[in-house]
Amino acid sequence: VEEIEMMELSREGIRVNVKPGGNIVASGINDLRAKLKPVIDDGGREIIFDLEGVTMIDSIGLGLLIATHNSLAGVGGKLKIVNASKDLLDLFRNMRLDQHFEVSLAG
Amino acid sequence: LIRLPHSKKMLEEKNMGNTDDEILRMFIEESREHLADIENDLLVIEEGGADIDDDLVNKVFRAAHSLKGGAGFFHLVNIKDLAHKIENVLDMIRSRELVPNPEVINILLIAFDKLKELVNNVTESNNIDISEFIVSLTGLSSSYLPKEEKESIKKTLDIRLNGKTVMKVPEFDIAHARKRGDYIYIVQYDLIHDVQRVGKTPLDIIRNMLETGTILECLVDISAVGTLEDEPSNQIPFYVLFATIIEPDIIGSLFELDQERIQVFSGDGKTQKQPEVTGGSTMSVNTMEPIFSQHSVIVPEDNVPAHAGSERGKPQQQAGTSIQHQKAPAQQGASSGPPDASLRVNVHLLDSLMNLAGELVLSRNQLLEAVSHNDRRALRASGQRINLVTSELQEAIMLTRMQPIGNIFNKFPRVVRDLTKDLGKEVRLEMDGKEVELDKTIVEGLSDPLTHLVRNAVDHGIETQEVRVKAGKDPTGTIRLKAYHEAGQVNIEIQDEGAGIDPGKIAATAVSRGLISHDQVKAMSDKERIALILLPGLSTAEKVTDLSGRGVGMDVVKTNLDKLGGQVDIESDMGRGTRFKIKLPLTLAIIPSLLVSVNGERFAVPQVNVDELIRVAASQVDERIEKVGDAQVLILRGKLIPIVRLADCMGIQRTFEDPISGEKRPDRRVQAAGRRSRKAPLFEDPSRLPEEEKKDGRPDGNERRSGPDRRYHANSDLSIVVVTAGAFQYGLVVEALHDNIEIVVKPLGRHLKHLKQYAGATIMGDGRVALILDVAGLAQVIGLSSLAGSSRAVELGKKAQQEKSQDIHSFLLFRNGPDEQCAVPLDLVERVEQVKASAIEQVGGRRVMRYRGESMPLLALKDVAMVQDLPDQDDLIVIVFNLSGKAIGLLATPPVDTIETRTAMDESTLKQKGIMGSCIIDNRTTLIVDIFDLIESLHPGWFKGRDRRDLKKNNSHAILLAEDSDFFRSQVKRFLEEGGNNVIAAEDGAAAWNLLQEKGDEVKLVVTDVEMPNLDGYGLARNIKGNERFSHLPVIALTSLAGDEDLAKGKAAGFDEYLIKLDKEKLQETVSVFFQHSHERK
Repeated sequence: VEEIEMMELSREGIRVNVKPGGNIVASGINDLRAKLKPVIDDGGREIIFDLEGVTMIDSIGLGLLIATHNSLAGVGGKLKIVNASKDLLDLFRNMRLDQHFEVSLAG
Repeated sequence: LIRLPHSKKMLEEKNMGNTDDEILRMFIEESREHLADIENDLLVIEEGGADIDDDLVNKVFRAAHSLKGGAGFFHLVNIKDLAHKIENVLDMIRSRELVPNPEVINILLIAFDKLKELVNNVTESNNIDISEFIVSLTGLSSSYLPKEEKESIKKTLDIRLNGKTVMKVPEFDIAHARKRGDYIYIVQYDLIHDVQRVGKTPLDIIRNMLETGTILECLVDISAVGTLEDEPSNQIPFYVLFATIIEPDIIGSLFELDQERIQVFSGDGKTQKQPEVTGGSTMSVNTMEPIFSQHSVIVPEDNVPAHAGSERGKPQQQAGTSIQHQKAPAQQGASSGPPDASLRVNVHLLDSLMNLAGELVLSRNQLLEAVSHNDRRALRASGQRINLVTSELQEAIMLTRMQPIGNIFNKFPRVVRDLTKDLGKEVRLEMDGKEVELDKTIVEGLSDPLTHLVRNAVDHGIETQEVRVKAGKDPTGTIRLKAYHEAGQVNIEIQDEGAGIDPGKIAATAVSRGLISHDQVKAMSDKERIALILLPGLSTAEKVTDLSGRGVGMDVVKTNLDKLGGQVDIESDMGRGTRFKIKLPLTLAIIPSLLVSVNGERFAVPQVNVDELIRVAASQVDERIEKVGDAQVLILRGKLIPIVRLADCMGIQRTFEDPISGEKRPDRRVQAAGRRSRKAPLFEDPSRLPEEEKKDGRPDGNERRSGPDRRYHANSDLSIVVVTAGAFQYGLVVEALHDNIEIVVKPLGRHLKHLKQYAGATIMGDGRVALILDVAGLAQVIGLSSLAGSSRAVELGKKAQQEKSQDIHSFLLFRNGPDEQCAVPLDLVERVEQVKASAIEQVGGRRVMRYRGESMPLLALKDVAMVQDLPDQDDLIVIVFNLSGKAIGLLATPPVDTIETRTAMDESTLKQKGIMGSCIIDNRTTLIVDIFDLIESLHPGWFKGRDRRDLKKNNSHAILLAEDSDFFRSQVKRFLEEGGNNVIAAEDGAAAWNLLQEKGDEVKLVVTDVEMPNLDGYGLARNIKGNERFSHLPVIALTSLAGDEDLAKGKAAGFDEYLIKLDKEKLQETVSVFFQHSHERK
């Protein structure tokens, strides 16, 4: 829970910035999921995950990102991941997930 | 072939929890083996250019590939990455996308070098920076990436799973992987069950895979995840098409997945269930046990050291076969620390060893049986049998240590290539006899010296192309490396057909460096002059290239070879080339040696060091043995060979056999003759000794010599072993010579290790221990040296250099004022007394104190010189001098100290009355007190009375003194004058020579320093001895140089006596002896 307590969520029109501020792992997923759902319902179409401060994403976390992607894809929106650490970028690339959503490196 | 079972074994052992260290060690060993030949293979590839030898490229490729696989397994990221990049480039070469031109090969060579470094440094490898290499390799592959690849990427293969296509993969990738010899698997993960539930993250599994292989393609089944609306999915399928060298039967343990989730991709778009491996992996461990046999080349039975007798000359035959010895890890638990701590041995050799061990056991049983029955015949039989088995066993075991010299030779093509590239020369390297085998230790020790010699041949030997063309030679130079057996030894030749070595140049350099003298050079043959390059500190390259000046010099080559018991012979033909011939023993563990003894104590001298044995009959001692300075030399075919008594070196009581009674008696003679003796007092017929000793205790050598020789007896002959330590020969005088035997070298214990004179010890047949002499070490210990006595020559050279500018001064340090450090030459000081200020009396305006029942006048520096007052304190010291027979004291303050210093004296700045000058001692300016001046100022006439008296006595004696240092000149002058002589002083040899011309008739003796400007002592002596008018004058050299070389050189120049600076008594005594002689002569 602790990890996602620092989450920041800001919105400008259809663009939503999400900054979990901590690792995206099983323990905080339900909270995050609960916060993301209404964002899309409210018309958010471009969700930008800022991974600053995120060092780890577990399978459940990955599942959440994919689910977000899937939800957005259903309404013509898209998911973007920015500020990924080198390790995480490699992860997305090696799993070919970067073919589904845009991932960019920190800095 | 090799890598698969090993990788498998590694994996299994890892999973079975075996020590990682052991597997890591195997990996390192295996990697080294893979890397061993790469260099030469790459060079051959380079030579072939566009004409690519697939097999060869594949071989190199596989090496890189298996390194990559293993490294990944151990998380050696850098090794893995580097190997991977290398692999890419090689792959392009193989697919003819890249022509292996010199640049490409260069990058590969350097990269492999780095890889080697990483492998040799496994624990550190992850911290070593390899980015530079990665960049250049990546640059290579990307710049050459052709369109072809893009085309082949277009062709894709469908990967179908459970009837539906899950992935499309470029055919190219699959083909690639197969070419590498990889297996391709389709792995189905569920990121929730297989990853999350077992406490892992996706990153963990990705990393795991990347470390052991390549992810060709993968897919996360995102449709299975659902949306945010759906319930969080409880499965995230992840399919991976994975290429790796890991075999199907153990792949499961890598992924920690059920076998059924891993399928082998057959390549036709379908997959097959992974074949059930019978018994699973545990079973295969058991079947793996004879790993050796899997990749051991079969050596024909008859080539293995056979049962038959142990004929000599066998090594060649075996050498031929044993390169094929395919190797298996040795059983010793040697640590992975130092390189090559373990050894691979042919299985057949092990078998035959086992066989022999069995025989030995049988023989032992026989022996025990024979002993218990006291059966002499059976004893003899088993003795013979054990003898036979032992020598076979010895030979077989030695074979296990034998390594082909090719191990070293193989790196030379690269060395030569790199060097020639840098130097812009063309050199062809021919190698012969790679299969010749030597003991492992020797092979290892040879690497550095041989490399140096090869580098030298390229760098200094072979000329540049222009020069060669001008000289009418083939522009491409040839260097030949050759190894062959000869007379139970291995010879290695390094021959270049370059410019040759100029003996004159070498000699001139040696002289200019002060290593030898002109006279010595004159007496040398060209070959001896060339051998001078083995002296330390002698480089003939006019300009030192960065290639040559890399640390090891020729002297190191020599030292290294000495250590291996090797000998170097250099032949050089100006304009035609040079040949270095190195002779080496096959092994160091067992060496043929000569046994000698001194007073019943036996020593072994390695046969390689023995040049000849000489018996000097007692009647010939006079003619054959001469004394040069303090050294004895044997005259052998016109050469002077220094000789020493082994007993003296070892501190053993010498004995001789009394020729009459036949009993052993101690020989008590130690240098009985005076220093002047030109004869050899040490080597007199000892049989004369007892009576002589009775007669006058300490007989004078000269006298006795003059009489006719009396009795000779065979027992008083001298047995001399002429030994050679590198290029330097000397004679060891021993009491008895014994057998030549093969001895087993045992290292000395820790407490004796530091004794350089011994190479080890051995146990003799009778169970006693004999020490093995280290001939070179012994020479060093007893201070024997010659031209080639490397370290000593350097030492002397350096010393001589220093001595030129500075002499040694011995001083007594004291204080005048509290911070006024003063010094007075120590030779003058008689003693130092502590005195209370109250004990000093003032009588008649003079200070005196009572000293040995007399009133001794006391001086203070302040009386004459502008210095501080003595502090007003009770504790003072008095430095007592005894000059002209009377004691006189100098008042001073503590602390006092004595010091030997080489600091140059400043004879001007602080010079004043009573002060000779100053110098820096212990970082303090120190005033040097001129005690004579001081006394003369205060007590004029102190020296006069005596002078007058002495002058009368030695009226006709004038001594010509040549000395450049003012300090020493005034000191020596005083000493001589004190002895009642007239002294004519000159400040160098040239001035002395002029003075001699002027006042030649007065001069009766010449005392000269050796190192002087304008004309040195040698020159002066030569002038004097070469001039009819003066040749009768005795010349005494006075110097702080007193090595054997100096003595020899001085003798050649004509010094009658050589005295060490600065021994007052000795000087005075010697001078008076010479005067007496000249009187007697008259």
